[in-house]
Amino acid sequence: MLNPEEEQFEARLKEFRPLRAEPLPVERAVPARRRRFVLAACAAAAIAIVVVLLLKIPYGRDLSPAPRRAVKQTAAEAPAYGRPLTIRSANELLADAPSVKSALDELALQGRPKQLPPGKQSALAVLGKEDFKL
Amino acid sequence: MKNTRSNGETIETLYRRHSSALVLFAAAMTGDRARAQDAVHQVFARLLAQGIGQATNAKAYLFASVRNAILNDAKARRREVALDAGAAWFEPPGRDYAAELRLRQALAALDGGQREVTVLHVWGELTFAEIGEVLGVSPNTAASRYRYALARLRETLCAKEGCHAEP
Repeated sequence: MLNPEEEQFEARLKEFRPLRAEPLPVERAVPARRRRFVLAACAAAAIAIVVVLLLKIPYGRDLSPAPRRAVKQTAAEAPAYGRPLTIRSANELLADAPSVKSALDELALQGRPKQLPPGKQSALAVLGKEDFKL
Repeated sequence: MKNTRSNGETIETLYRRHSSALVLFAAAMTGDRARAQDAVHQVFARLLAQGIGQATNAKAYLFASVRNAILNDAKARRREVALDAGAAWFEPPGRDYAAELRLRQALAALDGGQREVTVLHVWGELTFAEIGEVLGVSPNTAASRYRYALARLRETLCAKEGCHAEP
């Protein structure tokens, strides 16, 4: 048994309240069915992304940009036939050709797409050889 | 499933009701409030997983479980931890934090057994019979330790301010 003074002291001690404890870290259990559904949804989304990427990128396509120098070389070495007539290409022809006439001939023949079969002559070539007297 | 849910709710109720006193008790044993908090969480995590079983006195069982967790941990570490006077243990009346510090220092100065009994009786609100159950001693021994502890606390706390002053 405690005497009154001890009881009074004990009451004073009880005025000091223990600090609150931190909340209990409880992991909320996710139901198994819901967990399976989430996993299936994630898997489906991943597969869809892969399929879309495969469809967007054609197989074997080189995605790297072509070097500039190579493009320039190709343009310079390409035959005159089939090239679009531009001021630049005309200037190049005029600079390279021995005469203005040959340069003009070259320009005129730029659109010739294919070789004639053996034994046949181009009408333009025949007319070009003839001397017209006006 | 229903039993598991019911068990979880019971454990959460017990935690809300007793966790503050359990952490204080653990802090009084270890001197380290963070470690005390860990020990209490460890006990409750185990209870949530395994259930509280057939414990007749849930409160005494919880204090005993926390005590065992701390003793097992102390055995693993094989070293004594001095009481840390840095972290507060109490909400002092009238926000008198100087009084709170004095109380902690006075508790820290007590013998380990006396400190346990004091915390269990004053703030855990356990009877001496329950304390005897938790500590594995007779109720009379628990009561005797408490009276010695109370006398020492009064002596320490009232030394400077007089016996009728607040701790």
